[in-house]
Order: sequence, then structure tokens, then C-alpha cells
Amino acid sequence: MGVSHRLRILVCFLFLATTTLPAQAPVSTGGRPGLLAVNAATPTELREWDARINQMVRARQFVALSSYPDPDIGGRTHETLAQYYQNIPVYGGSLSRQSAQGVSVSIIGNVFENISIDSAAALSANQIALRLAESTGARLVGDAPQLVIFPNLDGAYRLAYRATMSDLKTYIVDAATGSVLLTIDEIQTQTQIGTGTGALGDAKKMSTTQVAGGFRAHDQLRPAPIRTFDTRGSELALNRLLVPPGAPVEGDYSVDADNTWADPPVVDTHVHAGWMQDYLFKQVSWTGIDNRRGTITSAVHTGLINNAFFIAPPFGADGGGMFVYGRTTGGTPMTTLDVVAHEMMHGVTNASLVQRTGMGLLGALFIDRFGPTAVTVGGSSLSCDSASVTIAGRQLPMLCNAGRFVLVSNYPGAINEGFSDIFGIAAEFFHQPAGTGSMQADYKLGEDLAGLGAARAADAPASMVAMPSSLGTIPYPDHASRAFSFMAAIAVGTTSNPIAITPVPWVLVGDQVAVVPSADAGGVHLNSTILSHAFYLAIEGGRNATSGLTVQGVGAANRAQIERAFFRAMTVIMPNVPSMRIAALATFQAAVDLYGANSTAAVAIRQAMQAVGLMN
Amino acid sequence: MTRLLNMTPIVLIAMLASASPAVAQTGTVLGRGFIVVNGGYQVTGNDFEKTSTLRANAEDGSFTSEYEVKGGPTFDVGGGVTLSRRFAIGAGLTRFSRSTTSSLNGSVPHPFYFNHPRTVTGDVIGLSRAELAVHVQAQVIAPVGPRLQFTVFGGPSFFKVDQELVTDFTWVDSYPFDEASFGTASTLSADGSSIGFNAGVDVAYFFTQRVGIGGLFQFSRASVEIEGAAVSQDVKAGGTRAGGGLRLRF
Repeated sequence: MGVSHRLRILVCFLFLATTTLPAQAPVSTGGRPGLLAVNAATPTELREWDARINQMVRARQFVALSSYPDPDIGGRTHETLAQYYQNIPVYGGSLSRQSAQGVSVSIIGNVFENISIDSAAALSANQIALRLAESTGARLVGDAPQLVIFPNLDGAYRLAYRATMSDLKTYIVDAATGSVLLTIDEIQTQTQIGTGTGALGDAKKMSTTQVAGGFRAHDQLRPAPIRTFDTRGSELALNRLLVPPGAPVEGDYSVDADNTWADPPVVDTHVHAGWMQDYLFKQVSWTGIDNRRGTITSAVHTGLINNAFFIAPPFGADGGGMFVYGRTTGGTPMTTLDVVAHEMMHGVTNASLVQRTGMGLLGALFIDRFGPTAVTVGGSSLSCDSASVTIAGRQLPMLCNAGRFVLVSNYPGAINEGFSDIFGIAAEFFHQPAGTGSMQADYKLGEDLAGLGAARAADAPASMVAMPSSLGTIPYPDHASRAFSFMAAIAVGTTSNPIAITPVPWVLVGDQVAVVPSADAGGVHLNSTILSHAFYLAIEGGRNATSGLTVQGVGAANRAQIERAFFRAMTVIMPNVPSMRIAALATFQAAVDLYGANSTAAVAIRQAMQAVGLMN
Repeated sequence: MTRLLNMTPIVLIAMLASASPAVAQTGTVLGRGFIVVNGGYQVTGNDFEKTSTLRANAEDGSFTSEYEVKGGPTFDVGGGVTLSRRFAIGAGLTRFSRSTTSSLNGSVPHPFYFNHPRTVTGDVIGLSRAELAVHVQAQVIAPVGPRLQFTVFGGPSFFKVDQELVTDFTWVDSYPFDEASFGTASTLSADGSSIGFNAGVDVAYFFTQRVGIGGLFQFSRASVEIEGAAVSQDVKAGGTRAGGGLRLRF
């Protein structure tokens, strides 16, 4: 007979860790009286225990529950035996016997000795269930309460019932008094569903993780885990997460004590990230951001004003990229569904391009055209060869070609933003009813941001001001011919040998220059509406105000076809440095791939791209 | 159970009375006491349904269990005593037991979205149902010749019903959790008793002065509230029953 001291201590520890103790005698740390931890391995020990087990089996003190062959070692058999006392199972009394060709190889388990109690229960199973229902407010689930012999830590035994209730707990209840002797949490995974209130006062479900003392905004139910960090306005914390290696700490998680969340930025960010993941999975068969179940990390309370952004790997928490959300100047969290979905689509765009090409969608300036040799700026005439502009305190010469101003745009950037707007809109239509009110789906981006309002409108781009300028406001373009083209300056190099150029905040309107507040990195946001307007036309149909061309859309009921075509274009076809026309062709090709050249969807996309001037 | 004990004296009185001398005996139809043993079949089904609420994923859901309690074989014994040539009082005990099926239809809240319940359906088979009825009867006897006897009877009945109820169930789902399928059901035995009534006719043919055979057509009914641990439900018990068996008188 061998008694493992180490095992005994371990078993004792487990009992201490899981038991809600009734009043009882002090327990020594050396072990529980009556508990025999069995670890028979030597031939002598095995012979002794074989004989003892067989005797106990004949006396029905042990019952063989199962016997099955070893999955890894041929000829080995495992037998599980449960301890009983007067036909009542002894809680925790079990042995596992491993044998080879009928000879025991090991016997491990627990045997409770010296059991001597009355096995007649004073309370019935129904009475126990009723008492538990009254005390816990939960209902009985599973089998009716079963009698067990419960070993107490003081060495005594109690006749008890084991009952599992709908509060996800199993109770061991004294069969004589009805006192709860032990409560066992049945939650195997700590994932929980809580509720939260968003910035618009709307109730949402939060998929969270239970931890000691509360709950974390950590969704582990979806294929790609979602975690929402709260940097609590700390620039230090945000930078620690953004800059490689982006090591998060326990305190970064958004937490709540009772899983009833009342912090709108946390609620909206966490929930909308889940909704976007659901949209991607259901509508376009894409899992998470990277289609590889990579963790999706967001940060809120970042101190960011009027902005939200995605930063690609290797930046962000654990080097996996991150979504960072700020507030409007009025304090509204920039975490509406379309905004969150917009940012997450940036992640999808980046991941898909990186996986296919090794690089993301690269920002690059395209030469749109050559302008005049001279323009008027603020009433003064400037010839290109002699003009210069001051940027960041540096006097930079203008980029000219044969004496003509060179006009540039960052089309890959505009495509990136356009596709993000498109899927921000698509996620809205997937989850919200169509309409123009709060939390209703429309073709505008950011319309639910109180105090800020929509940033862009795919249905009518020109109805919104893109930028103020020295010549008045300039609307967003609904056609390629209205795209913002920026004059360029030579950032590095000379007029005869320009090495690096930069767009300057001058756009040409007729033969006059309109000075705008920002070059928008070459018009990445400003020109995005050309593509998003094509998306709108392909679904809803209509007439482009600039070209006058009419599009027969697929109709709102078939919007999924258009969304799938655009998604395929970005994630399967799009090259790293596309022009707007390449993006249009990729989208049309995607529709042809999915639905055929003469399909309604392909025709609608071709017409839409023609209407916005991106296809002939 | 309390009601059963209260009824027992009535039965005992009836049996004791049968041992007393006959008030009048004419022909072959009148005896001091009689015993009836029948096998039979309860024709009436006693289907019922129970709707319960459940709480899951931070939202209320519900499930309805439709219990199909079909008819089935019965066994009963009874006896009584004749008070006059035309009248008797008697008592009988009927036992009905069978396995029932519950069709479960649940509405299970979605883990991610409010007001997006998943429908879960499943059958729970093998739920036990047992009815025990004690009938007290006033009987009007109509002898037709020396061997044939018609009896019309009626009176209160005491019913005890045991029924296994579905108290909860599990479901199986996976991302995106838009569908769920039935897993397993939790059941609990509930019981209850109530007073109802019974009425019927009996036709007996006696081969001898004391031994005969007969047929029975009886309707009995009670509404019973059965209760288990934190569960209760109103059910119907009894129904139309036909049977036949031995008739003894002494």
C-alpha cells in the first residue's frame, strides 16, 4: 500500500479551495482524516490494492463505472471505480486502475475510510429541490437531487444531496438539515453575456469574460476574440500599446463590476466590433480582421479628439494592429457602428493585401494631369517655374512639367477610405433598419455622432462640404472629373531632379487656385466618395448628377451581391497601388467572377463605375 | 394524500355494510355484497401544455412543452353493497399508467443580440404518467331476468396524478449562434390530487348465483394541480373508459 504524501496534500488543497465550509473542527494541513490517497505502483502495493479493491467491489463498496482500452498504448486497459456506501456514491471516492494483459500497472485515486452513517435521508429530493429553488431563485436542472456521502474536512461524513440548478451551480445539501455544504460553480468557460448602454442610450448585449472581482470587455465567443482596452486618457498607456512590442497589461482591459456596462465608449466599441465581425462572417464569409481568427483589439478613452484610426501590425497591442477611438469636441464617443466598421475594414484591407502581396494598400501619389503654366493665388499670378510654397517652415519649389503645374492625388489612399466607408455603410444596413433617424441605416458615414454629424454621404456626395477654401466651400466629388487634385511641391531634390514630392493644400478651380486647410494626404478622404457613390448607385440605382448617366441598381433586397463584389475586389483582386480606374475594374471583375458578366450585379457595377467616370 | 385518508372510511363503511344481513333478497339479482374486477382501456387522451420562462444570455426566453397523454390500458377493482333491490353503493379503484411524450418548443435568446431568439424544438420521450382514482358510486340496478343485470352509477371520484414534467433543457449552438438545436431535457416528478366525479353503466351476466362477467363504460373526470419542486401545472385526469371482467356477489 502506498500513500502519496504529495497527492494527499494536493487533494486536501482542492477540497479547501472548492468548499464552502460549514462550521467544523479545525483541519490539519497534513490531510483529511479518513481520506486515503492511493498511488500504488510497485508490485507489492498493486497486489495489496488489487485484493482490497476486489474485496470492496464484492462488498459493493466500489462499483466499476467504465473500462476502456488505452488510446495510445496497445494492450492497456483503464478501469474507473467509484466508491459507494450502502448503495450511495461517496463524493470524491474513486479509483483508476490501469492494467496490461490483466495485470495491474497502476492504481491511483481516493478512498474514504471509516464511513458509518445512517443512509436514510430526513429530507426528500423534492424538498431539497424546493428549498434550493427558494434560496437561490433558480430552478432544478438535470437529474433530480441525488444522494451522496459527503466527506467533511473534519473527518465526519454527511448524507447529502447533490443538485444542479439553473444558476449554473451545483449544490451539495445536507440531507438532514438542508444546509448547503458545498457550492460548485459549473461555469467551464468564463465567458459571460452582460448588457450595456451605448452613447445613444441603446441597450446592447456585451460578450465578456468573468474574472476575479468583475468582468472584462473580452469577447471569446466569436471566432476572432475581441478585447477592448481603456487607456483612461493616458497617452503613456496608449503609446505603450501602439509602439512595438505593444505589450498590454491586465489593467488595460475595460472592466465592469456587475456586467451591466454603463461606459458608452466601451459598450459601443466592444459591441460594434462584434457586430462587424458578425457582418463579415455572415455576409462575406470573412473571419475576424485577418480571416485567421487574430485577436481584434480596440482602445477607448484615448484622449483622441475628432478622430479614430487603425494602426496595422507590427504596431498595436501584441503587435497585432489596433483600433483607436476618440471623442468629438463635444464629447461624443466616435464609436458608432459605421465608424467602428469603417476602421475595422481598414484592418481587413490591410490584412488581405499583406497576406496576398506582403504589403498593405500603399499610399502613393498619382499624377492626375498637368495644369496651366500659371495660376492665380490670392490675386497674384504665379508661374510654375518660379513658384514655391512654405511647408513646415521650409520653402519648397513647385513640381512642374514643361513649365506646367503637376496635379497629384493619392488614389490608393482614397480607395482605402472609400472601401472603409462602403463597409461601414454595409454593416449598418446589415444590423439596423433602413431610415434616416438615429441608429437607422443610411448611406452617410458618422451621422449618429451627436454634435458632429455625417462626415460623408455616399448617396449624394456633393450635398456635403468637403472643405472650405479661399474661393468658398468645395463639395465632395461624385465623379472622377471632380476629384480633388493637389498641386505638388518638391520635398526632396531639385526642380530638375525631384526625388520626393508632397501634395500642397492648393487645388485648382478653373485657372484659380483654391487654398484649402489640408492636402488630406493627397485627398484620401476627399476623393473616397467617388467609389462609395458608385457603390450606392450599384445598389439603389439612379442618375449621377455630374455625368447624367443613369444606373439600374440591383435594389436594396440584393445589396449583398454588390457588397460581396466590392469585398472580393478588395480582398482577392486589388493590387497594392491601384488607381481609381483599377479599383473600378477590380470590382467589376469581382462581380463577373461571382455572378457572371451579364448578371444584374455586374451590369449594375459597370453602369455605376461608368456613371462616376471610372469606366468607359 | 390527506384526501385519500379521508375517503378511506367511506370505503370501509361500504365494505362493512356488506357483511350485515340483507334487507331483502328477491330472485337472483339481489345480494348483500359484490366485487368487480375489470381490465379496460381509457380512450380519452389528456394532452396538456405548459409554458415556462427561462433566462439566458441576459434576456428572458421561454419554452412550451406539449404533453401527449394518450389513452391506455387500465385496471380496476371495486365492490359494494346493495341497499335494496334497486339501489346499491359501491367504491372502485382505477389505475392508469403509461409513458408520455413531450414536444418541446423553446425560444432561446441570442447571445449577441436582443430580440433575436432562436427556435429550439425537440421531443422528450418516456415521461411517466400515472393516475390512481378512487370512485364512490351510488348505483341503480336494473335486473333483466335472473342472470342479466344493468347498473347505472355515478358519484364523486378522488384522483391522484403523478406526471413527469420537463423543467428545463439544454441546447447546442455555435458561432454565429443564429440557430440552436435541442440538447437534453431536465425532468422532475410532480404529483397532486383532487376530487372529481364518475358516471357510467355496467352490464353483468351471471352464470351462477354468485359468479358472472360484465362490461363497463365509465366516464370520470377531475382537474388536478400537480406540483413538484417549484413547478406546478393543472392537468385533466380520467376520461372515457371501457372495460370488462369478473363479477362476484355474495
